[in-house]
Amino acid sequence: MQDLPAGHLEQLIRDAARGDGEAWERLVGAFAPRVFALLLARCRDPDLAEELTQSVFVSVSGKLAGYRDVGRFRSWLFQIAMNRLRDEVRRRGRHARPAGGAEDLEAVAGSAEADYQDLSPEALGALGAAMGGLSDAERQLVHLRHLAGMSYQEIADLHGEPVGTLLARHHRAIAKMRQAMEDSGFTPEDLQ
Amino acid sequence: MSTTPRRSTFAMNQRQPHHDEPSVDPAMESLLGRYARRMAHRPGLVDRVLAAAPAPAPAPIRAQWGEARRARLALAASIVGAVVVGMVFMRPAPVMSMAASDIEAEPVLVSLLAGSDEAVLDDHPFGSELRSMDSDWSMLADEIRDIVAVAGGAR
Repeated sequence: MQDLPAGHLEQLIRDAARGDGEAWERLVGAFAPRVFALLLARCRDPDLAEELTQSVFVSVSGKLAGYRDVGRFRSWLFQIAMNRLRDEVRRRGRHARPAGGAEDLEAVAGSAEADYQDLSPEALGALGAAMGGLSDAERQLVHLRHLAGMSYQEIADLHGEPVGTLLARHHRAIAKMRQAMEDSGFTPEDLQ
Repeated sequence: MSTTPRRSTFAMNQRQPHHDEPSVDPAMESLLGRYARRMAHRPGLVDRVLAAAPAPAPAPIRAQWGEARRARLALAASIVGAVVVGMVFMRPAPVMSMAASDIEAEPVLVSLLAGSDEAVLDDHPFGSELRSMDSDWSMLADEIRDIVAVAGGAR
């Protein structure tokens, strides 16, 4: 996701809300991949993740003119995404399975194009196994931080938790993942 | 690698680290960044999202509608205000003017009503009495009859 400077992002939002098609395209181009990645990680169904991503932006398009919470666009956007996923899971009467485990990441790798193989299946397997060892709260934090690209302050706004708590949890999650990968014979430095 | 990155790929590669926390493990975070790019990679995603979610309706439409509504409200308020002002200031005016004309014609009127042109009562302060009367026409007529009766009795 393109990390737009705060002022630039707010200007883009204002322009898009006024009906500027180019600004809207840039906004969608910057955030749709992140929303998709987050939803895919949570539901593990690429088609459902895309369907929900489209639904999220339909909703954003309808509500953007009323968006007034300056500086919290990401929190607002990903809250819509998480709510939409929760509603869909409830509607379908099943629980979303958070990503984690080698089989999930290998499935994602299988759907990627040949020219986008920047992680080997082995590396993905090790990463998936490491992610599978996290608690749900830790895994969700990793998803929001690294897939959604949110700052800690934005995640704190989203969850209503202190930033310090999130920092400590993230630190613990990363350490656990590194340890799990090293236990399976991979070191992140080897995978660079 | 493709030489021309797709929109989503390009956007992902432009990501800068947030400044609210230093990286605790650069190698792990770099690995997670690559994982994020892979998870976000969905060919044609942005185009399909744009097709499903068109740009928001232009805000000026809302503004124009709001201004038109405000204009209609202002027009209605001004009409109501004009009616109220008219009711307050216009209603007593004809009564007052007619009473004043009666007062000016007071000696002749009294004489005629009394049935004699000799009954000129210039000395009687009818004018002040009339001014203090209720402006209602029925009351005024009663008062005039009283005055005529007084004038007749004085003869």
